[in-house]
Amino acid sequence: MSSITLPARCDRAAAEAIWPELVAALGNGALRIDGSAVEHVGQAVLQLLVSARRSGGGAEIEASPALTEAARLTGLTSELFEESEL
Amino acid sequence: MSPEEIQQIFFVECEESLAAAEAGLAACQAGTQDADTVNAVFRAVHSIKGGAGAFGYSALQAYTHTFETLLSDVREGLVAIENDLVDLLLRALDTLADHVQSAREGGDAPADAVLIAEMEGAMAANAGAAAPAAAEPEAAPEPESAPETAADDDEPAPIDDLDLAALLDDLTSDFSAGSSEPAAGEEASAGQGKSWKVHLRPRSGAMRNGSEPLLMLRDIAGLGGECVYCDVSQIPPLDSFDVAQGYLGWTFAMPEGVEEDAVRDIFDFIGDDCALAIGNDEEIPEFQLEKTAQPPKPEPVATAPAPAPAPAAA
Repeated sequence: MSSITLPARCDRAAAEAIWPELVAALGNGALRIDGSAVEHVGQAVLQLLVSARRSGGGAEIEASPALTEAARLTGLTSELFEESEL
Repeated sequence: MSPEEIQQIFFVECEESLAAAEAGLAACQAGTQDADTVNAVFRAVHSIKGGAGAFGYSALQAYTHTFETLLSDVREGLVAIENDLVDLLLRALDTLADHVQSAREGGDAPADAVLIAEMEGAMAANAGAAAPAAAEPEAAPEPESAPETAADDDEPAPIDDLDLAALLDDLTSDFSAGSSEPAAGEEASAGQGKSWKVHLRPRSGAMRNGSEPLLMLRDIAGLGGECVYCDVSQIPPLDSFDVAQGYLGWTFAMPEGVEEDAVRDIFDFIGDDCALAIGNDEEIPEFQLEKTAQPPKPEPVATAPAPAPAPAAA
């Protein structure tokens, strides 16, 4: 299982840096994404995480309070954190 | 949800606002000084001020008030964006970060009298004065000085009051609804006392130059709005994903008492970069694939077992 760690500041620049990592991890089965250090997250990373969840073997995301709160604000809680039914 | 946890959320939002302001000022420094960029900085500081007032951090609130007033002058075009001003704003942001930290950790507020005097000196009403305020750095700041009052005319006090009340209401209601059964709670509260809907879809421009759609969503939530639907149907698989695109669309339910204009004001500065539709019969504006500088394809992915992603493998 591949594992990727999200930085504290998940802005658009971070999304650009993470995207190739996620693509490279495709095909290695389910992905583990460690978001426990996230303090700030924007739309660019949130939508990238949704894509990761829906691609390849899916992804399991560990969330920080900031990430949890952003998911709640944007209505993405179940999309991002519920157990995948793939 | 305990008060400590609610405050923790506030400080998370402070960090996001500080990051947005920093990005905006960095863009200003690099020469991007358009209305969107300045507005992003203004809104970030405004948002911290609102929370500071709601949680009783008076030193933080007083400081952000001065900061915001100066930014309001900049936004109105009353104060020109010059190198000295950007430098002042960057220093003011540093001290704002110190203020937030001292509020969070309960330490002494940072010494800000010199900066406050400098900021007041740079305000529109004082810029024409013979001696710049920086020449008398030890002068005690006048908290209720005339320029602030004048600038506040642009930003009527009732809006701030509404923000504060709505912020607290929103925080507490969210947590009581979400604590036990999030899904059921959301549906129930979405159906109760919500009378109109706002639909939005940020375009790629809403994610550039320090703009961040989530800050607008927070402003909607600050008015009492609640997300009832997020359209994720346009998000492509990873291998055809373009980081620069805005793929998400939202529907928020707004409380009956909120004026439509209050919501429109949030999106005023972003203009066409966020498609908006208001009304229960409306739908989320359609997705448009936009031309971006992003290369459409990543480097070919090796099928080899473990092309260990460089910095983050754990």
